[in-house]
Amino acid sequence: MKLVDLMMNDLIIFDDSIRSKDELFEKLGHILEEKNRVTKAKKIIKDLYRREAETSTGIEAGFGIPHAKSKAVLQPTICFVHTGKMSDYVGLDGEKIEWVFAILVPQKTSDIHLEILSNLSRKLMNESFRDQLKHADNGIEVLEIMSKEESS
Amino acid sequence: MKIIGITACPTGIAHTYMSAEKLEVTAKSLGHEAKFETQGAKIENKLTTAEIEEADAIILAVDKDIDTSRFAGRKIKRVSTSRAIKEPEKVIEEALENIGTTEISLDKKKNGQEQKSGIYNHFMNGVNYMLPFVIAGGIIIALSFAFGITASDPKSDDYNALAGALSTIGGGTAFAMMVPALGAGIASSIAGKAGFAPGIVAGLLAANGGSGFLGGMIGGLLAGYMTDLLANKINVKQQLAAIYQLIVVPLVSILVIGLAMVFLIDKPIAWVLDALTSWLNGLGNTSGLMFGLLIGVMMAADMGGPINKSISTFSIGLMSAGVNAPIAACMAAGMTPPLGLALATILFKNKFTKEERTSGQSCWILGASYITEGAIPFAVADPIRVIPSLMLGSATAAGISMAAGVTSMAPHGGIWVMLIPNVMNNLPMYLLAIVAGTLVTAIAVGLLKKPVTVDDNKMINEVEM
Repeated sequence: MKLVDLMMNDLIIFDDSIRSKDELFEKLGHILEEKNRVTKAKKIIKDLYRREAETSTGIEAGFGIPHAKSKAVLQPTICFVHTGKMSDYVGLDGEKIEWVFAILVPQKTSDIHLEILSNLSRKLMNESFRDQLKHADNGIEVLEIMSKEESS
Repeated sequence: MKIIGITACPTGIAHTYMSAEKLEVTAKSLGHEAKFETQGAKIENKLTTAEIEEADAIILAVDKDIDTSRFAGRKIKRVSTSRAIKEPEKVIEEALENIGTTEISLDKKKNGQEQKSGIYNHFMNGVNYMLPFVIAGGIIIALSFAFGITASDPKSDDYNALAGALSTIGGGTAFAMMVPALGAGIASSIAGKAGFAPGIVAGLLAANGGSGFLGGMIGGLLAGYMTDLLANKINVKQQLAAIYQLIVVPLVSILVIGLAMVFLIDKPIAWVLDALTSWLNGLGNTSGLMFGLLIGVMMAADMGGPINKSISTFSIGLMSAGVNAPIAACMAAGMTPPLGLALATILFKNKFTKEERTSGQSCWILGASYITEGAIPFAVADPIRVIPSLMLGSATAAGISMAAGVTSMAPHGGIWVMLIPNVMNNLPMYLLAIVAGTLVTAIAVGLLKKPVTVDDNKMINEVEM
């Protein structure tokens, strides 16, 4: 199984009206509930915030990976969201986050899924991979970049 | 240069791998060799002993407590995962140049926590070994009391086989293991696995020799340090190593600690016991406030050691002469240490660890049943502050009891006998004495003990954000 198998075209969102963590999580919760990936939007928003409270999940160069392992998650899911610059969500380098991989894992999950997700964390440290994602402007393109990166 | 390390974060999904990737890539781009073990959902890319030995620098990018025993004797650079992701070059540079590194000491092989204040952690480890025996044993004894205070005695009229069994399990067995477990826990905290056998022997000798838990603490420390020296510090030729570790270390450590316990600890203790007993016999006047205060101080001084034993045996002896006030005072003084600590864990939450606060609640049952041993784990963890507080509270309880002239027809049983009509001659005063002693104990403990610092639960050198 690959990262790209956990992604769906309609879970790839381009919305530069999102300007804060709050708006981002609301949007994520709403869409995930709609697509039957989570039981309740409210629960998953709370779980994402709980993880955020430990340390911010903002990485660098405008990328963030909010994530949660939660009972409310029905199946392992990766959402890609290209937002506007978010005022209260910044990376370790101080840059405001604009590109988000939201990672949702069920409470009871297999190691395979965790491995796939850890794989994504490693890939995001690669600058050229990040640059390609920054320039993508639709879901198909994002999926292509993902599968190309994984087959290489 | 060879750079190795471990990365770990609480959820084990993201930061573990990001920091490992970042450190590896950066180290390689600077021309170093690098390998990072990731302790995420599972452990991957595990470091080998050889790799640890050959490494020029060790970096731990961790946001949770991990086992660092593999790096004993090595200098490590400990940072948060976020710092490793943010400025990997700087972290690597600092690790190579020994800036802000800490050394994992050799003799405390257990984990990073223990390098901070050795003895305290050894005692805590001893407490962890001992605690199940105290809690289970104490409650089982209390259960046997419920059948009637003499129901566990086959010679008694109200003998009940189940009560007898409960008493054997709780008092005869679990409680008998308490001090040996303490010794074993302390010694294995110091010397690792090799410390277990000499530690348990030292503890058992202390229990049987009458020096109680204080003897067990000293014995455990001696056994631990000696075994550590024998097993971990002395180098033996490769061909002889197996036979040395398997035969010489246990033989020498148990023999030496055994002889030390018998001749250096048990003998003086027996002498102290004799001296105290004859002194008490010579006191003559066995009534009044002063004698009550003395009873209280002695009861709480060593909980099961020679001082406690001499006063309780003396008071039981007085019962046969028809003097029933001292035994009542003993019982009150023996009940307040666990009761006072139970109250203190509620009133002063910040002075106790989470485990202590939970186990503190079992002290209500143990204290009410006159099972003073419930207080021992707290005393072991912080003897200098806890024992004087217990003495103060017990002296209050015993003083009031004696001053009011309360007498008891039963030598043991706590609340289980107290409420039987005609056992106590003045129950309201007696309850007042116990409540007062409990309050004094709790307040004294609360004032003397230091707040538990976050570091005691979790040690991370550099946490940011």
